Amino acid sequence: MPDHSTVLSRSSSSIKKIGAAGLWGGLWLALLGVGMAAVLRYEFTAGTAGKAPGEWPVASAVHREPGRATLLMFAHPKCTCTQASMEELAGLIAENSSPLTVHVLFLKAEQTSDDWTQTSLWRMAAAIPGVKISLDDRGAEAARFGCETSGDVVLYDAAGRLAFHGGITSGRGHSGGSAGRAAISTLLAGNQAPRTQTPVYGCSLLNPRGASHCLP
Amino acid sequence: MKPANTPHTADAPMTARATELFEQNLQHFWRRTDRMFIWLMLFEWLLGIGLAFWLSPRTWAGAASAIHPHVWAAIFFGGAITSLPVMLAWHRPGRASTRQVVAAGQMLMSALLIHVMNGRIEAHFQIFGSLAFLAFYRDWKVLATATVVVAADHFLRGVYFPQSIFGVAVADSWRWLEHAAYVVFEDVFLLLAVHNSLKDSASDARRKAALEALKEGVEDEVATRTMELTAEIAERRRVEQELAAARDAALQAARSKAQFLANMSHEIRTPMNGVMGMAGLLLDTQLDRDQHEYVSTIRESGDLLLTIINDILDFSKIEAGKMHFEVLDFDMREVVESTLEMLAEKAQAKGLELLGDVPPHLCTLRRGDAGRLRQILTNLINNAIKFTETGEVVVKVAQQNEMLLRFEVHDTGIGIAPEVQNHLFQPFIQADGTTTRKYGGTGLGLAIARQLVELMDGEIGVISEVGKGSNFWFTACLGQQDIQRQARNRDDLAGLRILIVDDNATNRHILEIQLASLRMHCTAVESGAEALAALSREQARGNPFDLAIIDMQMPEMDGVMLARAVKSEPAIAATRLIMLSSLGRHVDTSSFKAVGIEEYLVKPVKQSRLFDCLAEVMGRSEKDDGPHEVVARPLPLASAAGHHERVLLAEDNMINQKIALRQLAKLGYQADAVADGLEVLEALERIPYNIILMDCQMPDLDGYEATRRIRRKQTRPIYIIAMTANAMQGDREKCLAAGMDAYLTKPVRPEELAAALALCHPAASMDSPVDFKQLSDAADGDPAEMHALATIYLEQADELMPELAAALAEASAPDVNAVAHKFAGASASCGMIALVPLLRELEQMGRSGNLSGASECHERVIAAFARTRDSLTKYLSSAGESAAA
Repeated sequence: MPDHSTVLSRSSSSIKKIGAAGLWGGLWLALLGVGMAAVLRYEFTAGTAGKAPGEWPVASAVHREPGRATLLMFAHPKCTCTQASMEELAGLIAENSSPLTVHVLFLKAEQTSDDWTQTSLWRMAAAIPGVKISLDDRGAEAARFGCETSGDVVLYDAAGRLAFHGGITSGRGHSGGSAGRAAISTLLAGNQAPRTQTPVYGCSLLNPRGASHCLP
Repeated sequence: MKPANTPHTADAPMTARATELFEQNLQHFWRRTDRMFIWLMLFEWLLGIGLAFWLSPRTWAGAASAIHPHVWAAIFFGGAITSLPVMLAWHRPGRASTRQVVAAGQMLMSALLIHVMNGRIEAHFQIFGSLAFLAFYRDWKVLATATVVVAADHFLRGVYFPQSIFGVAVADSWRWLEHAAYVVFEDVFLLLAVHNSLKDSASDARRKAALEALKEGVEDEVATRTMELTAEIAERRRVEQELAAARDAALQAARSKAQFLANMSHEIRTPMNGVMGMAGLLLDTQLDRDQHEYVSTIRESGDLLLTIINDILDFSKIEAGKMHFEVLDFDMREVVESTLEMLAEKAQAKGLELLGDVPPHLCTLRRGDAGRLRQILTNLINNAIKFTETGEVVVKVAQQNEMLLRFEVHDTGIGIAPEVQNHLFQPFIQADGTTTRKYGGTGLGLAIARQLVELMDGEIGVISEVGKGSNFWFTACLGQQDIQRQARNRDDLAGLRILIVDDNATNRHILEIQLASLRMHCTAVESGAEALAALSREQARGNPFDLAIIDMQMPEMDGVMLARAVKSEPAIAATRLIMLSSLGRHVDTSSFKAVGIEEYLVKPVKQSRLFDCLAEVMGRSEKDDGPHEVVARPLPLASAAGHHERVLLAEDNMINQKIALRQLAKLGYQADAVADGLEVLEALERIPYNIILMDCQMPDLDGYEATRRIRRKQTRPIYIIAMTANAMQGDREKCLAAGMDAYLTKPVRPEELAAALALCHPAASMDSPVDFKQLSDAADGDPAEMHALATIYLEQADELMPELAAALAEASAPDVNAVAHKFAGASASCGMIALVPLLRELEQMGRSGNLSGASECHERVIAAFARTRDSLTKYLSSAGESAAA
């Protein structure tokens, strides 16, 4: 039979092992917590939002059909986060029954060729029925409508008044139900939406020196 | 889950083993799944990085771009998630903590992948796949941990950041439960699968434990048996070694004993031969009655002693496995009958009837060792005679199958008590001690008989009743000869009418059978009165008997009286009469002639002899009806006059020895017997034997070598007759090449023996002292050369005779030796047979330096030379006349 000191020694050794395991486990969990927090923070940190004009800007090159609501989405052609916004837009159009003109304007940055905009996102937008696609050379229209983040949506009613401004996803690149999409659907149905402005999750449409980009 | 929940006490070890196996199996599952997760998580990590690079490699701000945070997250956060589970699975596989960390890590990795894939709803299936993969652990706690991680993630984010998981700023507080429920839903099936898997595993463990227990039991049993066998084998080896040592010792002892016995036998026999030989010589001298009796007793005692020694030697030979059997053609009937004949005198001396019954239809031409068969029969018959005071001894032979013959020796003697019958065939045992005292004997005879019978693939036994007699029987495997000898044509005597008159029923029966086999008609009666009546009756009927065989000894009217009565009755006087007697040579045959008896037979009657006798009587009756001399059939070759030559018989088989001695005695030769070549040489140094009957195969020194040695040292004529069982081609030449003069094959027939012996003493048998045939052979058959050779011989002899006389006068032994040697050589070459032995004798004297008796010998030489000269002179003159004519 082991003596008392041996038992104590063994117990002490076990406690040390458990302690070490706990410490390592704790450290690991903490590391994972930090990592997860960082990921989530990025995921759910919205881009910068400009101020959209209350009335349809006259200087805009985008044609507004009178008597029909007009929805504009500004997209960076290379922003992968905007794919979720595009999916939501497609869903929104599909379920809408009100008269609505939809434009998707892709940023054509300075000193880029036309090919720069020909991405999968462009092709995705082109595939949505009833959507008019156009280039937004150096982001002039985006600036005019006060949109600074890819996926930003503005909705003007039939009278040309601003009805909604914001994103239609709940997170960066995160499809699924969102407050923005729900608000637009409500507004198009002729009802009052609880929110008319939501955060936008996506890459920055502005160059780094003057505006924020995708990085938080 | 446990293999057994309530183990029975007896099954406790097996249950414990089943539990151990079950746990080993689980451990195996855990370790294997740990290893699989090492690779899975590493793969997922790399997959996450790949997907990040593929789906969202960069993030943009206008025209500017940078590495997308998803890429960094996939690399570093994915690495962080993977690190601990992989490390634990690598270094501490199979542990519960490892599994739990792996479960948490896997679920977190799934979450990361979902994020990397931009939260696509399809990416959530990773969660369910991961759960299924975690089920490989077969540990519900792992699934619970994974489920808790998922549920906790949804709960916490639902509470604190619902937008991140449910896409809404404010979500139902139980919505996390809905998501968790889907996970639990899968868990139910996975847990069911895990439960079943564990159940199967437990069942397998129990089965394996049971098999192991069985195997262990078998192995224990095998081990135990192996140990026992090992011990047994070791013990057996030890015993075998001891037995081998004992056997070697016994064999050595047996060899020593056999050698000792052989030596003793030889050493005893050598002086015995001297004693018996000298006793024989002494018997030839003038002795008074008492002296003759004393010397006879010495010789008979010597005979008895030699018999005992031969018994012991035979026994030792059998014991040592050195008894050799000859396989030769022989006539079994002849063996039986000659054995009976040999012992007839002894039986007759006790007044016993000695009868043989060999059925006529029996195939008697057999292959085997006739000598050994005769030895067995002799022993049994001798015993029967010895232990029978009155009555009869009958030998019967029957065939049991083609190979096996059954011999029976019935007697009407004292019988043997049942309790001693079983010991009879063991060596050195007789019926009881008083038997030995009363009847003598070594007690070896029956043991030897038993062993000889066994060597002949037979059996031996006895049926006996005290006071009524015994029936000793034995069987022997004696193959039939390939070609039966041609039976004699017996048709000539067929149909004869014969009357048998004998008071002995057995004898009557045997005669009836024998005569019936010869296709004769016989009638048997048991007294003289009945015989007379039968003869008269048949004569009156016109159907008379041709011949009557009459027993000599009968009550009231004996054979002679009956013969006289028959011959005195004219009506039946023509009946031929043959006397049947048990008295052998002692009968007064002259009285038979007087009463009209034409032949007489001695019992036991050989069938062959019976036929010969009948043929003789009936043939004579047809050719010559005049008076006849009565001939005693058993002694056809008996010589009235004895021979002076001394004969030495060299034969190692006792029975053959006896038979040959008896045959020699009948032929009038006085013979001594020795058992091997060495004894021959020793006997020759003591007694100047003239004739040696030499068996070729003998122990110690065989006949060939003995003959060569005799010839090398020979100083006088010695005639050597080979007597051998070797009857193959070349054997005769081998004998002659060794220096033998004649060649007889066994079994030796008396006629052949007589013929061979007659050649030994041509000088005695012929008047001429010269063997002209040899002289002719020496001259190569050329008469002129023969004439010249005789002339030259005489001239040389005329010169040598004075030289010999001078040498003797001077008593010069060397000169005597030299001259006699020269003279003997010339004489022997030219066939001067009367001179040669005398000259050899002188030569021997000269060589030995002892000339005492030389003068007498010289006188005989002078006389012999005179006869030789006379004979040669006659020859030369007759040859000259022939040439002149």
